[in-house]
Parts: sequence; C-alpha cells; structure tokens
Amino acid sequence: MSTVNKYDAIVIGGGHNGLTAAAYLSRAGKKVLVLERRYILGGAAVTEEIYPGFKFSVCSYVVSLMKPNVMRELMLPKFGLELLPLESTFTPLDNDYLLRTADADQTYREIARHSRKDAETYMRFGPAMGQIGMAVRPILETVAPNAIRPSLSDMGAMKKLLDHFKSLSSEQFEYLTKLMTMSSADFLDEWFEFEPLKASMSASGIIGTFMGPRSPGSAYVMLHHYMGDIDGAFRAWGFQRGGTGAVSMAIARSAEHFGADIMTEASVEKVIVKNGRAVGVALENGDEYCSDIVISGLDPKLTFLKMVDESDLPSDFVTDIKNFRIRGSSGKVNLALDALPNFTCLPGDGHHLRGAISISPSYDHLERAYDDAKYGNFSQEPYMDIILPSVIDPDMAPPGKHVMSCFVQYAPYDIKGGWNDQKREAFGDVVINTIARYAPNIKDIILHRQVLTPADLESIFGLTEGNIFHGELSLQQLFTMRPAVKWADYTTPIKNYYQCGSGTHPGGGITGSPGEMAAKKILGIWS
Amino acid sequence: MSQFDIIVIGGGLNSLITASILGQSGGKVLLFETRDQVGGLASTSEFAPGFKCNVINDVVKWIDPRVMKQLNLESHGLELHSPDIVRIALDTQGQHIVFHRDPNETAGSIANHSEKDAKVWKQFTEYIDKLTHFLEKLYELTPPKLPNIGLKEAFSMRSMLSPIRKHGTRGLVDFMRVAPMMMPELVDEWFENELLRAAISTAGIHHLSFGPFAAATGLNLLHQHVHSKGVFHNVQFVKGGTSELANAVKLSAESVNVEIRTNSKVSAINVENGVCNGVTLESGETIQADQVVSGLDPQNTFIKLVGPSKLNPTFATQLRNIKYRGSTARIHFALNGLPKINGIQEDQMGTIFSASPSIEYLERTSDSVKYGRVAENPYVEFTIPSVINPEFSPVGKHVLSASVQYAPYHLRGMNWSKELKDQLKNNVIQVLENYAPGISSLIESSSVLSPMDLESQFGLTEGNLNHGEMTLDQFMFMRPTISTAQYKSPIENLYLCGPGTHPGGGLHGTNGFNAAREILK
Repeated sequence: MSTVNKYDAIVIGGGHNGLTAAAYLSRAGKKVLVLERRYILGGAAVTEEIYPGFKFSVCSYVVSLMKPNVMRELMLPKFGLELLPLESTFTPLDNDYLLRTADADQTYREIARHSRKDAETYMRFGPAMGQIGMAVRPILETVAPNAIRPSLSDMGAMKKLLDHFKSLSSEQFEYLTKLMTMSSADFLDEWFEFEPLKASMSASGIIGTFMGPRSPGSAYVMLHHYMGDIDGAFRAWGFQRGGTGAVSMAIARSAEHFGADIMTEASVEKVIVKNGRAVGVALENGDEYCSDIVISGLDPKLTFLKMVDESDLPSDFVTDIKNFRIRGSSGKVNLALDALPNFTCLPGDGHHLRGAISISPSYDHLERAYDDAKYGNFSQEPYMDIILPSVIDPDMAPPGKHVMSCFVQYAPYDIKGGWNDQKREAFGDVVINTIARYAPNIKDIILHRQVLTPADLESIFGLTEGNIFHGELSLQQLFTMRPAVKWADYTTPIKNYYQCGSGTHPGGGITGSPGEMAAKKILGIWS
Repeated sequence: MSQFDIIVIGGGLNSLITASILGQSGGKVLLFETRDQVGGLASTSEFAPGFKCNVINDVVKWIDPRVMKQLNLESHGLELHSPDIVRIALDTQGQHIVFHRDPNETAGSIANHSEKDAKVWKQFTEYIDKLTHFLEKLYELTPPKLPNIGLKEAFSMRSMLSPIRKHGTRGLVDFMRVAPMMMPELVDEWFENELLRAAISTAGIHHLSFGPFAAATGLNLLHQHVHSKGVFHNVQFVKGGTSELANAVKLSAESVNVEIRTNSKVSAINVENGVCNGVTLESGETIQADQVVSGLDPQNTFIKLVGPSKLNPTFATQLRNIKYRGSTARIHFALNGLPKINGIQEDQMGTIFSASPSIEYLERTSDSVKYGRVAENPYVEFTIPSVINPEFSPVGKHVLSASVQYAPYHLRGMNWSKELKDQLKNNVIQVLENYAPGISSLIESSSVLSPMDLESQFGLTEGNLNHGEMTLDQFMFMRPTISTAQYKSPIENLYLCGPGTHPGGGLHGTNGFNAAREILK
C-alpha cells in the first residue's frame, strides 16, 4: 500500500482510458493514484490465463483506434506496445469463401472471383472511406463544446469545426452525411453487389451495437470502426503481442514511469463529495484517499448513479444519465483449442487464419440474428468476429495448441427470463454449432470454453448492461451529447470530479482518446 | 417567345400551390395532369358503385399556414373539420386509448391503463410541441447548399434558431436529441403502458419502410406534428373528402388564370444544352415555356422525363441512390352497414383507429420488408370516411379505408399478383376481426392498392407516398439530393416542387410554397 494518501488526482478504474489519463497527468508532474477493483489491470483490455498455458484477450480482442500521438507521448512502444497486423478478413460461405488480405492485388483477384465490378469498386472504396475518416478526425480530436452555454474557447472550437466542414467537397460532405444517418446496408448497397462482401463489411456497423445492418444509424458505427488507425493506415486493425492486456500494461508502465501509483484489488465504493466538490474516494474496505480531483474511467451510469449520490447532481442531469442508452448486445466466447480449426471451404492453415474470420454470409444471416435479439433471445445463428491470436503470436498458447476469440452477436442483456448458467451454456452451444457449420472439426478440438454473456461482462468488467462502448454510439449520444449535454467536455456537475471513459467523446474502442483528451482538459483547467 | 411563362408538371397539391402562387404574381402558368382529375394523393374516387373513398389520405395532419393565407383557401371552399377525438388506439379487450384534442381528456383515457403515464401525458404533448416549433421554422426555409455555405446564406437561416428565444438552447438540444431517436428510446423516457407506447410509435413509422426500432423515427414522428398546436396525433378531415382540399387550391389557381389541363401526360421535359425550354406531351405536342416546374418525384422528373443522357454522372448516381421503397398499401372496403367495434360508441366512429397492440407487434410486422414479403399481421390504421362524409356511401352503408403496413414494393420470389393482394386483404380482415368481430360479413366489395398499383396509377416511384423515404439521410439539404435541395435542379429553368423536396411528404403544401418562392427569386 502506498504511504502517501494525499494525491493530486485519483483515477477510478484501471482500464486503458483511466491508465492513459493517469499517465498524462503524471507526465505533467501530478501525483496520481489509480484504483482498480480487479486483481488485474486493463478493464476490458485485459489478458488472462483462463486455462493453464492459454492466454486470452478475455474481452476486447483487437486494437484499432489507438492514437499515434498517445503512443508517442506516453512512449508506449518502449513499455511493450507492439501491434501485429491482422493479415486478412475471411468470410467462410457454405461452398465458397471471401478473402480480403493486406495484399491489394490478391484482394482484387479474390473479390473479382465473385464480382469484377465489386473488385473495381473496392479499390475506390477504401480511399474514399479513408478521406471521410480524415474528415471526421477533427471532430474526434475536439473536446466536445458545451452546447447549452458555450464558453469562448467552445465557440472557437465550433468555428474551427465549421470552417473544416466548409473545406470539404460536396461529395465528401454527402458521404459523411450518409454515414452519419444511414444503415450500413443501405450505404454499402450504393457501392457493391456481392452480398457476402456487403454483409461482411456491414458487420463493422453492428459490432457492439444493438442494431442490424439494415438499421439506420449502423453506418456511423461502421465509420467509427473504419477510423482504425495503425501507423497511419486506415482500417488496419492490429493484434497486440501478448493480447490486449499488454496494451493496458504498457500504458500502466508508462504511468508508473512518470510516477503514478497503481493499486489493484482496490474497489472504490464512493467518491467523497464535500460542499459540491470531490475531495477523495472511499474504498469498499473502508480506506479513504484524499485528492484534489477525482477522475472516473467507469461508464456514465456507474460514474454518476453509483459513485456519487443523486442528491449531489442537478436533477435534469440525473434524468439525462438515466436516459443514456447503454444496452449490451454482445457476448464473447474464448476457446482453448488442441489444433487449428479446419474450414471446409478453405482447408488447412493459411492467410485466412491470420486475421479476422467473419461469420457473415449474408444480410439475412445478420438480420435474423438481430431479430432474435430484438425480441429478447440470443441469436440462434449468431454473427461472429473471430480471431486466432495464437496463430499471430505463438506465445498465447502452448506449442501446437491455439486460442480462439469469438466476439458474438447478438446476446441481449435483457434476455427473456434473465441470464442463467443454463442459458449461458446454450448460448455457448449455438456459437460452437455455428462455427461447426463452416469448420466441423471445431467440436473435437475444444480443450476449454469460456462463455461470457452481457451479464458476465457487467459483473466481471463493470460494463453496465455489458455494453462494450460504455453507451451506444447513436447519433444522439455522440459529441456534445456524450454522455449528456453540457457535460461532454470531461467535466461533471460536481467540482473536481471528471470523467475519462468510453462513455465520453469520442467513444469506445482501444483508442486512449477519452483518457488523453480528459487529461489534457484537466491540465488546462489546472493551469 | 414562349406561349407560357411557366409549365407545371403534375396536378398534385404542391404543383397546384406552386402554380397558384406563380399565377398570383402575374405569370402565365399552364399545368398538366395525367389523370382525369387533379389532386394526386388528395383524390377521391368511386371504387365500387355508389361507394367513394379518399384514395390515399383520409385526413390532413397539418397544412402550412402560409399556404392557407396566401391562397385564401377558405374563401375557395375549403372546410376543415377538427374532430374532438383524433385517434383511438384499439385494445383487443376493449380498453381503448382515446386520443382527444384536449390532453387532459386523453390522460383520463390513459389512466385506465396507467396512472403514471396519465400524469405525464400533458407534459409529453408539450415537449413534442416544443420540438416541432424548431421543425416549423426549419420547414419554412430553403435548405442551404452545404457544405460551403456563405455568410449571407447562413444569416438568412437565422430564423431557424428563433424558437430558442422561447425554449432556450435546451429546447434545441432536445430537438437534436429526439430527431435521431428510435421510438422505443423516446417512449422509454416517458411511458410504461405498451398500448400507449405503440400508439405513439405509430406516428414514427407512418408511411415508412422501417419499424419503430429504426433510428430517426423520432424525426418522422415530429414531422407528423408540425403545426399541430400540441395536439398529439392531430388530424383534420376535409368536408366533402380530401379531394376538396385540392379543389380549393385548384379554384385559387384558376382565379389567377392558371390553365389546368387534365388527361395530359407529359412524356418529356425538353432540355437543350443544359437549359430546359418546355415539355412534350404524349400526344406529340410540344409546348415551350421559360420555366418548368415538376411536382413529380425525382425519378420521374429526371430519369424518365429528362432522360439519363442529359444528366451529369454524379447527379445520375445521386438520383439512383434515392431510397423510395414504398411499403404502405391502401385497402378500401364497401360495407353494407356500420361495423361494430368492441367498446366503441357510434359517436366515436368519426376518427382514425389504429391496430397497434405493442411496439414488438409493429417491429415484427416491419420485419416483413427486409425479407421481401407482405406482413402476416400487419399494422392497420383505418377510418370510416362515410361517417364524416355521408355522401361517400349509399344510405345505411359505409366505407372503411385502411392504410396497411407493411406491404413492400420489393418482394422476394413473388410479385404483386391478384392472389397476393387477396392475401394481404385477408390478413387485414383478420386484424379487423380482432376488434370488430363479424366485420367480414359486412364486406360487399373491396379495392386493394399495392405499392405497385400506386406506382402505376399515381406515378409514385416504387409506390412511395412521400416521393422518397422520410429518413434522416434524405432530410433537408439532402432532399432529394445534396445538389438539388434548393428546389432548383442542375438543369437551368427546371425546378422541383413535390414531396421529394424539403420538407418531405404529407398534404401540407410547404414544398410547393417554398418552391414558388425560389422560382420567383
């Protein structure tokens, strides 16, 4: 235990954003304490040995949106950040497959096998989306202004954004508007014709979202995923050596390097508020720590409805937070495998196992999966985004053995009758059965299976309703509205209490962005 | 030298309004309508001997007050009837929710289901009313050409923000929050009773191909309530049938010497070197004019009448990408008596009824669109127009007109055959039987209008009643395309005035009014 119990700042939650905020504040010379409830750091970006010898990125499984300046400023590569590229996206079909790889020529040939027109379009689509990503970036990098009572600097930021938009071409602005409002299916239908390609691309519009590819609004989620940036290459998703937990550990080491104290198994019970000011935290074990400011990396529901008393907050703000939508829609199945899965449509080892395996043969497949969830059940034939981390990073499993990470949709948090052990296993079974349709040997090679329902994600990781983004990425929950209007700039109605989790702008994913921007905002206020 | 200053294509409400306003300012205006009567979606017809119906719209939700005033519609015979009961959400157990003009009375009806919901009803109607004030101002404007908007244009749009004076920036934020919402998100914030939640949601899915779980159904809900002065589900009936609205506008147009030619189908809009100079009729006759205004939808205007070869490729792509996807069918029943609806008194019959038991029911029925089939258990909204206009049916007999969702234009593995229309009709009768047992024995004859029929009879692309879906991606500066949202087209002297333009569909006339203003600029 630390000997100092008066800090400049206390960060609640040792997730990657909390750690990022802590690292930035320490880097600026502040005395910072990070308090993590679990025995291990990382929050949803965590690596655990669930089964002896097999390491799992238990929850978050790929890294996309990590900001280059965060990596640089926190010296993350020095502390162990090492992103290995995912080489491909593989969509198995019943009698065929669709493979897209980092090799543009190969991808062209593969898509052209199904549609020459789409192959041509695909070459134009990437750069077009890249441009839109660039067009959106200034929004993501702007601290969301207070839309109710803008300060002078808020006005300046808005003026800058307006000028930025005015600089866009009509075509860019058109695509941007469409991406902000349409369904991913409608948007992709304007470009492509081969359905498995469209379905696989649309799938990034439903990840972590309680929507189907035909739901308006899903195109924005697709764009959010397209902004993945590794070494400046758009939509280049990466895998962290050692699992996503190693990202968190790199940030934690950086924070410690700059002087932060980090405690695990230190569950915060309450933020201590005196005269409308946060002055410290009380742990569940009764310990108290004082600090000038307190920063919560938890989601908005926990940050405001659990960590502090409603009576310390304005009632309209409490209403806003209660109305903040945070429905969980996904589950996770982690498998320890005795051998590699063997896909009927493309047998043996190969590129296709070194990237994402997308179970998205058609829009109907995704929509039917969504329909099940809409009406309160888990999908009978779910959509899945699968990776085999041990193929990319052999240290993840014993020699010759493998780990398989299956991100599964849909699994609604509010399932009819509630989640229980029996339903969890039934959910695990449909996942295995769905994989077996394409890789029948899967059933014979499973050494261990970990099934995480949204209820599990909530209880293990503290994600309210199991929502992986700390709140849905719907239009009315973005930017100046995330998590609530007036308080989207990382401040809160309680003085000296701040927020830095994915429930703030610019939202979910392993980006470090909310943590970084919150820390910079706080440092600005401090000076 | 042209014989006419302006040719207007189409005799729908907006076309008539544009023609009338242009006539008022001294233009020599000629209007062509394909059918034998003007009115378009505000038409009535005799669908069975002695039985008349409002073909598409039984009611008017709102009319742009500027149109009422400028065209002096009341003096041209328009009589609107605002019923005290604006809607009844039917309950299979007869515990209907009756929506009155007076929110306190509605709350009384809601209280039978939930005291809690009844308590906040009035507050909810005020909240929705507040948000529509922002939309009202927005609707009066011509959308800016984005993104590169000049200071002058931005300044001219300042009235859009005027409701802030009354409602504060919080009001604007609430508007921006609710417009992109899906129905469950909105009602979750207010209500617990499922019948009420679904009854509210029906406003969000009106004539849409999506269900209540679609983002921005909030916008569609607000669109239905513009100028409704706080009356949720506000409706007005037109005395003599909805066609009398069109007739009043027609009289107003004729009073300023607009020449109206029915049974005259325009077969081409003539464009030379990017400049429009007139039209050619199906008869072969070519008529020149300085300006041409089309009230048809963008597909008909540009692809069919101008022709793809005259369009630049970017614009052609934008046009191709407009979403139509009509999913509403209309069914008219000739009844040999007044149907008995469980728990409904005879004096409550002059309103709109909706069969929408739950949000899940509505969403499930909307699923049929994405799988390309007609809804088995459709959402049915119906009126008995013969109660309001007795001349619609022989004495003692009645007409029941139903709007049915979802009946998608795009079907999979089948087409809109007579069998399919019969199937849809039977599905609707099944639904009606739940609330009005025995109604099927009253049916003398019927008429089913599928989206395919709406396309062929009314020239509505894919049968879409709004000339393009009312979704956020086709809203304001994106309607109908980012390059044509100012009622102008890339073709010089060719203008648009139909529901495919800002602010979209409905019998309100705002499109026609705004278009006329742009043309006169």
